Order: sequence, then structure tokens, then C-alpha cells
Amino acid sequence: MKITAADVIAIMREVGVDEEIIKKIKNDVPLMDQGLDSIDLPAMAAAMETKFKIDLSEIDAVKVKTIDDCVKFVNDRLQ
Amino acid sequence: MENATSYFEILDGHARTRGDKIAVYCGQEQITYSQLNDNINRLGNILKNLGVKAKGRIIVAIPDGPDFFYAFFGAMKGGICPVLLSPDLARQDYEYILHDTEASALITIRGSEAATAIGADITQIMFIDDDAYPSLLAGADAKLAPYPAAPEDISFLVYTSGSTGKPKGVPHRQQDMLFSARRYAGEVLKMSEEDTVFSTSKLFFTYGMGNNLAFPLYFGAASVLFPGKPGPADVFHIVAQYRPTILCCVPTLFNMLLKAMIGPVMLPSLRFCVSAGEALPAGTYHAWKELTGLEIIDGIGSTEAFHIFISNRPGAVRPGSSGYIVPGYEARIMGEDGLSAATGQQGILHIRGESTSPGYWKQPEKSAQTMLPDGWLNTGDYYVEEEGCYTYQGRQDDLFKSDGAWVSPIKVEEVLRSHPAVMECAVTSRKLESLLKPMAHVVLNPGFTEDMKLSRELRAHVRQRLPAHMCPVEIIYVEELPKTRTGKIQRYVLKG
Repeated sequence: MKITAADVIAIMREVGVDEEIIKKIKNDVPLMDQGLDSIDLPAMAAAMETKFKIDLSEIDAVKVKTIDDCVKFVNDRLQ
Repeated sequence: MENATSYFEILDGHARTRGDKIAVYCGQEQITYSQLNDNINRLGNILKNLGVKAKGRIIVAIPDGPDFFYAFFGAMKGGICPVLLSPDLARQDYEYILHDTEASALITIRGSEAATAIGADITQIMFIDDDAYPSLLAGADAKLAPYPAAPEDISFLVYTSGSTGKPKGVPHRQQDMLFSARRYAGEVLKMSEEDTVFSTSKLFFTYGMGNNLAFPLYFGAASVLFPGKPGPADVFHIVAQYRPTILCCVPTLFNMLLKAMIGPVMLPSLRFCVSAGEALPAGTYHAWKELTGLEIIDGIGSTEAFHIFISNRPGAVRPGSSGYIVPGYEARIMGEDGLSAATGQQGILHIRGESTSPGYWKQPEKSAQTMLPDGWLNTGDYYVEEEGCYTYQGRQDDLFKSDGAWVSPIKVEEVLRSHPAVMECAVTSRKLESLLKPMAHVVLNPGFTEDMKLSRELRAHVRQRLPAHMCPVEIIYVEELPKTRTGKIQRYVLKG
């Protein structure tokens, strides 16, 4: 099973990221540059762990910056 | 400077020898050492003229900016003890601290809950964002002789979170700042008047106070201040505009900065960066070094010790460790049996040095647990030492740090329980992207459904009432919480 950018954006909605931010989101731009803050990002990471059954506890923060990074990271682990 | 016994001597000296040098940058403001000294004296005289008595306490709850320097030193110069607080606390926090300190005066900004939480003892309030304030400051006398305080007198008070949810007052003396400036900033960071420091941690935290006030002033360096909470874009802008030589942050912000970088970034003014507040993950260090070419000098300190007492060294960083004891301090690691732990064996870190607080404000029992005989300070942190290098292992109590600031589980639980859906709850830490974040384990009241919508609502409920770093990143719904026979929640069981 592979995930897509739409799955990541669905998680953003689930954790309560502002809809105005979500409407303008670009998949290849760092999420930190698109209005998400230091609360949104870890909440998204925790929700991704639960939804996709992956472990993000020890990864380096630099690995996942954009939605495209999220998709690649999760899909690499789902294989 | 090496022999100075007070910052008033140092500031007078800088005003004489480098009066036109910029001491503070903040937005469009540039304050010289001469202006800084004059305005400190002016504000001290304003407080005297308002009738604020020496030996009393004054709450200072204002954003970072030159006025913080004036209020901090101006109060102390008049023999008044400033109590440094965030301007963004909840009203009940101010009410608690007002009562605890019996403060008789308050310096704050309009819109801060501090002004609405006035205690019965408050007789004077000054708002630094009032239209009249600039002319009040400019019109006051720029000469003020320092109040003849004894070296052991408390100079100022800061507050730190406690495990019970009530903050504890931590008194410090000017000598604590001087010792830390000489030994840590001087001998480890090799700070000099050539430096310009930008610290993202606020001045009411001792980490920020040391970085952006005590250390630069000691050396005649410059300080860059930012009133709000800077995000990555703010940090990059400030570094480009003011060209600091030292950038001080907490690991969570270094992670955010990295997440905002799509490739290598040149920060040519910086000699290195400093981190404290929580353990810096090795991965963050390596990623930062790769993208910027700069070292992050991680260290550990505490409010009780004023600032960093164990630190990595520029040019010899051990990523993932807190580094080596700062000159002038001593450290010991104590096992559960109360004896010194062997090298490589985990135990509780105690430290000793001349910057440590004499004891918590009006809390002799808590003081006895932390400020030990013969000047030792129990940090409450588990550490391992090998070949002189100290590596963090966790906490002795339920407290933990997120985004560089303490999370009091009890405080977060209290707020969650005030939501109608929550019957009971427990807050613990969990690791996410190598850093600790708060999470909540919730038992719901009948009639409520566990779903993402409720989780969003609960998180928003906390976010509206507590600082952002205390907001749980995850809510787990459980049938019941693990408890002792006497009904005390066993958070360590939930952590696993």
C-alpha cells in the first residue's frame, strides 16, 4: 500500500492545521515555510505514526521537511 | 572587569570607555553603552520617585527589548528586587506569584494578564507601552548611585516550573551572573567585545538572560533582542541583518530551522551556535554542521545554577553528549545507594559552583531536596560520565523539557480535566523526531466519543490556556490509568 500527498494533507486536517494554510499548501516547499508551526508538525508526525504504523521516535528531524518528503519516507517504510 | 563585583561597575566602565559602542539592537533601535547606562539610572530614579521601596520586589513582565535591561538593572540599582516573568502568563500564574513575592510594584505592557491580576500589595504599576512612558524615561535623572546591597543579598528572582504545577521562585545574586560570565562565556565560548550575540530564548529565562544580557554586557559585546517568539524566517532575517557572531537557540528551534532549509545555508557572521534547554540530538548536530558548516555547542545548565555548567567545547564537540564540566564548577554522579557512581554508571548529577541559587523562595523543604549540604545542587537529571564527558539519560521526576521549556504534567492534566469530555488523564513525554514532546492519556466521560475531532478540540483547549510547548502532540484514549494503591497515577508505567 502506498500513500500519496493527499493522505498527508488529510492528516494535516485531522490534527487541526488551519484550512487556509492547507488550501495553499505546496508539496515541495518546506512545511515550516508554509505556516505550520512547532506544534502542528509533531502532531502530524504522531498522527502519521498511528495511521501508517511507522516509528518516528528516533528519526532525525531534517529527514522530513516537505509533503513529498513525508510521502517518500512513509512509502520507503511501508515496503 | 575581572575584579568587578557588580554589573553597575561594569556598566559605568563601558559608558566611560566605549560609550558610543552599540550595546543593544532591537528592531530599529540601537542603544549605545552610554545610553544604556543613563536609561538604567533613569528608570531606577523613576521607581524611587514612584515610592517603590528598597528591599521590596517588583514584577517585571515585559517583552525582550532595551526596557527590560533598564527595568532589570534600574530596579537592582535602587535596591529593589526585580521578579522576571513572561508577559504571556495566565492570570492565575501572576496572582500566585504576586502573592508569593508580595511584590509592591509592577512593570508590564497593556494587554498582559499581569495588569489584570493585581495583588493587594501592588501600589505602583508602570506600562512601558503607554504614550507617556518615553517622555517619563527621558525626563528622569540620568545619575543614580547604587543602593549599598551586601554581596549575599538576593538581586533578582526568576520562576521555574515545579512537578506539582506551582512555579518556584529562584533567587540569584549579581555574583552568580558574574561567575557564569567569566567561567562559561569567557573560558568556554571565549566571548569578547568583538562579539554580537542573538539568543532566541527570552530574557526572563536564565538561559536567555545569560546569553543576551549578563554575558554580552560583561565583555562589552552587543546583544540582539527580538520581542516575540522567533520562527525560522525571523531567525534567518535577524542573522542576515545584524550579523551576530554567536546564535543561541534550543534544539526544537534548530530542528525547525533545519526543516526550513532546502539546501546549504551560508551564515558567515557566526563563529558557532549554542544550544541548551533540552538534550541536542546527534542527528540535529550533524545535519546543522553539514548544511551550515557551523558547530552547535550543546551544554546543560539550570535556572538554579543560573546557566550552563557542563558544555561541549568549540572545535571539540562530542555530538549527543552535554560535554565537559565548565571551569570553576564541580560535578559528581550519585547512585541510588547515595554513593558516587562509577565511570559509565548512570546516576543523578550533582554540581557545585559559585553561580548556584542559595535556595528556593519561601520553600525550605524543596530547597533542602535540591540545594544540598556543602554547596552541591541536585539537578534531578540522570547522567553517565566517561572520560570526563557527560551524557544525559533522563529525569528523576515526571518533569520533562519540550522546546527548551519545562512541561509540568500536572498543570497540563489540570487543564485537560477542565474539559467536559475528560474524566481523568495523565500526561507523559514521548520521543518524536529525537526530541521529547508531551502526550496525553485520557479516560473519557460517558457520552463522549474518541475520535480525531475530539483530539483536536482537547489540544485546542490546552493551547488556549497554556504555553504552546505544553500542548500534547498526541492524545491516546484509555479505559483506565495505572495507579498505586493510594490512587496516585503511575506516569512511568504509561511511558513504558
